Amino acid sequence: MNALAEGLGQIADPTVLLCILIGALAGMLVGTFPGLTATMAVALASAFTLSMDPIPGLAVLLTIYVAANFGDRVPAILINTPGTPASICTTFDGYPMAKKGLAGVALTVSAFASAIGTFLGLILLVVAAIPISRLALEFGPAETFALVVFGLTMMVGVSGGKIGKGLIAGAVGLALASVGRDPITGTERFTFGVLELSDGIPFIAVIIGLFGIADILDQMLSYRAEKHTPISNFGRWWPNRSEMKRMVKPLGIGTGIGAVVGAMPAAGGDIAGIMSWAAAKKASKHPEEFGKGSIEGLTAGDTASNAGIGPSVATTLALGIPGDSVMAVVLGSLIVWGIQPGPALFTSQPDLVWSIAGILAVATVLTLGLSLLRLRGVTKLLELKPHYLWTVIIVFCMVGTFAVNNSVIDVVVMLIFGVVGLFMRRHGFPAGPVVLGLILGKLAEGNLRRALEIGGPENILGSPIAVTILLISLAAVTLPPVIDRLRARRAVRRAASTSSNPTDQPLEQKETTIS
Amino acid sequence: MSSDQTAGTGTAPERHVGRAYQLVGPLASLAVGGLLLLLTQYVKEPDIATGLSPRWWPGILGAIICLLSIGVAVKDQISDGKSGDELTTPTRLGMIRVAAVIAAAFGYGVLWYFLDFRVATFGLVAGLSYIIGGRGWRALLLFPFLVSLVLYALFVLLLKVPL
Repeated sequence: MNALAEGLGQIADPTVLLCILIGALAGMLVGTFPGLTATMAVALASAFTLSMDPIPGLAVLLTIYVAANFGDRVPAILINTPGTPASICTTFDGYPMAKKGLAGVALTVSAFASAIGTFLGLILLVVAAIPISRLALEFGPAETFALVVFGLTMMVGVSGGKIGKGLIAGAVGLALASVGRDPITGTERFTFGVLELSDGIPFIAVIIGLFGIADILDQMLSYRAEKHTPISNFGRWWPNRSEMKRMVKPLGIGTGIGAVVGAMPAAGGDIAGIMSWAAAKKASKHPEEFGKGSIEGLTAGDTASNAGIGPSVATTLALGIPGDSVMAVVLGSLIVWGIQPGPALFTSQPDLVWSIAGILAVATVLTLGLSLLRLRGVTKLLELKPHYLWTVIIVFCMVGTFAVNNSVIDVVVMLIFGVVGLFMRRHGFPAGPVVLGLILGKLAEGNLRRALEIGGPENILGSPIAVTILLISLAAVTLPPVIDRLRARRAVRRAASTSSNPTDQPLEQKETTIS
Repeated sequence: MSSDQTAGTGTAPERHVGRAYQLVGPLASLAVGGLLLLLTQYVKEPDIATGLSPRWWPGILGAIICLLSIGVAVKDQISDGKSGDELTTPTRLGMIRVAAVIAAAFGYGVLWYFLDFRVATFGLVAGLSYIIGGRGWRALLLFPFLVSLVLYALFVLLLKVPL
């Protein structure tokens, strides 16, 4: 039996299909609640799924990832609050549409744009992953080390202009990975006689602490009870023919941008969505409608933020470098299951790659179906009081973390990193690079030391691939501040010259919010 | 953040951070880097000869963390206090709740050691619900009962985790 048939055959198992359904419901729910991110949900779910086989476990994790990217459009459209960062761009035009009495159309257009984006991204996963992995098979220690540096610097580069703090966070993550046995000699480092630390810091506990507990504590810290009323007048549900026609061009723009951004290690759907929204505005015959309820703007943003999922998975599987923070968590789970993503995966377990593509496809179809159900009941969910939500998450984080290894140490580690994560958030340190550093640390150290011991620094500097990757990495951390400065100057100039033109205002405002 | 979004999320308004506050983060990371450099000295050298010692990598990282921390601190101090960091203002009640939640989470560990998982979890959920603002029999009795039941069913009965 070939890999394709074997891989797809595995997801026909009723248990796997049930896992996809559970993941879809959980992901939609997570996306719907503002403040809960897909990363947090996948981190929390990974505590449960580690006791399962890889395929059902992946079915839950990947479906949550897909479904959260559908569910998060609901609060973005109905209460102008993105359910996850990936739906920031949905608020630009989705909420104005809802205010005009077109909430039903906005929800339907958003669901289709998300589904089409995900599918087109999936095609890219299938087409691009194998060539990327073939190229990566040529990589030796020097190139692999350069690739890890690339992944880390990309995550730092997109961490909202906090390059210095992002680099510190990445270095701390790498340092945390050095706890346990040295990858070359096996010497114990920083274990202080604690047996559980010999295998390193439990990264699932760290991830749940940094993304789950810290998120909730941060929300709790600044929460003020304020009544927000979701829009309840949904209007008609289906776009008319002319509206459908206007969706075509932004679908293309969104797919292109989403695919490129998604394939970049560590860049997420939020960035792709905003870039695509801006590009679609430039290409539109009606740019003045953008930010005021444009169906093109809504389509472009939602397509791009979902089109990145496939390429992001491709990068993770082919290179072993996570495409975004959700995939960093999935990568952690794969390693615990004994599956090492990277170029060798395509020769050792090609069926797994097809299973993953199949899971994503089924999850997209199922989630699209769930999204098209009339969502009047969702408005009730948006009014759920936080004490229910926060309590459930904290308790699930604790019990789930314990369940990974039946270890109290893991729970203590998770709580400590919850507090550390809160401190980091309040002081502008991004958590993503810590997790990435922790997951990739052993790979980075082992390959760097091997490269240096084999041929000294010349081993790295003599490799054109390694040097190119390192130069791109350098650009990833040095160019964003320069670009930001230029953009700020341009914005000041534009504000001075077009202060009377209100069309540009929404994007400027939203960009400020995102940064 | 637009006013609509502020209302939607129910969080406090954002504020720019001051210079002293900006210094706390880099100083903390400087301490982490320094501690790493110190602890690296206690890593045992292996019996076999290697080109690069097990101390080398954490030592490099410690030095990088220290240098970056100093760089960030200096940059923040000379940039007119405009770091671009905007934070939602913590409320007094929020700070009390966070402290109480952390205490309750650690207390749960102790309680779990002495009591059955279901009883300890019921206590934790009721406690957390109360701390976060839940009142009435639904929030303090029914909700903890249901959550404990779901957790027990999911972990003990379904996933066979020995809780």
